Amino acid sequence: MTAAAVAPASRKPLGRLGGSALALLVLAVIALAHLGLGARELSPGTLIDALVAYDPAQFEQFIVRELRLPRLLIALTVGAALAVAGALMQGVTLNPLAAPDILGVNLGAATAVVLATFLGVGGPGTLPWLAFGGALVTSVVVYLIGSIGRGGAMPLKLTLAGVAVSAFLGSLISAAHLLNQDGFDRLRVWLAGTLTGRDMEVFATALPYLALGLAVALLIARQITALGLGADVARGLGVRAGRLRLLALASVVLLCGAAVTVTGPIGFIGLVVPHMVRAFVGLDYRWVVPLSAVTGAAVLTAADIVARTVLAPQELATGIVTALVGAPVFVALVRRQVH
Amino acid sequence: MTLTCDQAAEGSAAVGRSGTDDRAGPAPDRAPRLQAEALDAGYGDARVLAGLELAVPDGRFTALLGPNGCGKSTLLRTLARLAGPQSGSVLLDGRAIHRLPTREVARRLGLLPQAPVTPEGMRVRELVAQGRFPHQSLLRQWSSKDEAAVAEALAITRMEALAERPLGTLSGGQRQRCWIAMTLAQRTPLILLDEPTTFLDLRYQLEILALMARLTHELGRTVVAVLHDLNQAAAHADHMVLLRDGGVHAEGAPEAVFTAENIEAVFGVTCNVLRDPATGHLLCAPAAVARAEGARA
Repeated sequence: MTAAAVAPASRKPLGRLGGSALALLVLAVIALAHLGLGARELSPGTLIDALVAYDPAQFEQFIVRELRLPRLLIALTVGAALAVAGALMQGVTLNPLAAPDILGVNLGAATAVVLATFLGVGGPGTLPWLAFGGALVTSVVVYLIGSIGRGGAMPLKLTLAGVAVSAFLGSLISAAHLLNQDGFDRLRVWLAGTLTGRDMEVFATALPYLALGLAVALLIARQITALGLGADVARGLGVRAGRLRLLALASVVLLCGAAVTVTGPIGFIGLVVPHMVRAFVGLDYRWVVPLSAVTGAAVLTAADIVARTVLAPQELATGIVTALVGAPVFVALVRRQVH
Repeated sequence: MTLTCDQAAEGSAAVGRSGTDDRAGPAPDRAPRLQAEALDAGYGDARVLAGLELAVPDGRFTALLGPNGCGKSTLLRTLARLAGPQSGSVLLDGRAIHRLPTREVARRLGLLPQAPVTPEGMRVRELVAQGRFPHQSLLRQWSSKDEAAVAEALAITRMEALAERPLGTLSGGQRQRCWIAMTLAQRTPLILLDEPTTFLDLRYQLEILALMARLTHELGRTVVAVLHDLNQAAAHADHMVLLRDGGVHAEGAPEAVFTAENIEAVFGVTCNVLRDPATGHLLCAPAAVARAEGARA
């Protein structure tokens, strides 16, 4: 399997524990930078005060606590969710190109939300469920289309199915746009994937589902490693592959659906991060899953720093930043598939 | 290295095998641990095995042989519960294997499927450690027992020196030994292998066959393997099963089964069976195609 072809030599000098510690350290630094950098740059002292001795009367501390900290929490959570979903998808389908965005799962969740908004159904509480429904239907449809014909769900076939379904979903969203230009403006930025002005109420609603999805992912991690040896070997080791795939699907749907409700579809985190992580820790998903969470959180937070600062005082949609960085990596991965 | 009884399989406690001395003699007082009864199996509506009866002798190295399409891989896959029977049953310790929890089966029966895809980025030790899967759970994570089983599997297959190498850097024979080590780390009394020597150089083929003979004769495991080379099977296996048209044509010790008549009946080839003066093993020297293939019914 090509997902494994990354040189594992880099694993040696640091070891998995050392690598994990380093990843957490990097995450902490990026998180602090996220709080400190922006339209107004804040001193480390202000940051610390805002975190440990919050005084709402201080405007800079207020910025940290009321604007940047919520945004940071969203970036960390959504980044972790998307990366873990990508790791599960790549592990279960044995497909290095599988990811929530490539296979259309994120867009499926987004389409459900868009359509519901235009039809005027659903509030903050039901939004995640609509997104779950969209993610679930899209996952199943893409997998079925990708499995048609000889050879089953081969990586490129599955990817093409994802592209085709995404195109269909994109046209649904465009149709909604044409029918209701005004209402669409509110959603336009969200559809590009953004962390600007997110609704903390929506985030609070989505959080339990994200936690549940992550918990399931951690619980099935060991079995995914075994499934990576092929269906027959896994069965011989006592893995119940059918049940495992369903659990993985449930986890992916929870993670992607909840993430999309909060920030809109953010691409490439789920594709790229698991590859980065596997290059360091190998194919043992007991390590890949938690470290994908840490690295995904760090990468999305870093992308959000770029989104906020590169055109300051203007802001880019964070999803655009991840796409700019992630698209070349995707091309490189496809090239490796073709060879 | 010396192989001791400490390396007896974990799942064998249920039957309480004692040592390795009884391997030569049959055990008429006990039903064999793995057997097929009136087994029909195949793919979809196609029936590959029809009414097959087989009792796998415990503590022996059994070779499944037969022409292409005779159902030897189907039989192995059905014995290993990878494929379900159309009717009849496979019994493991007297219970239908397809109704046992798959993890419970995995503690008693190890399996190496045909040509598994090697995860190249994984290291040897990591792959072998996967063999401990059925012995672990959420509450029972990696233990010293697992560590010992992996070390032992690496020792038996002589892979210790390569334990930290990525699989992608190994030769075909080394990879196959590594897969076998994974199956051994499972510490099952029964081990089933589907064409373990196919695509390997002659030297590696002999290594693998010798390894399987050692597993049975020194460690008391029961080994069943689908093999292609008749002479290799006759030289290394204790028990040969010749399959033809979805049933067992003949089975028994090579001395009894490996005859020109049986080979002609099963493979449609006339041949002379000779004895190698150096090793004393039986050899088949094919002479000619006996009859048109379509004429065989």
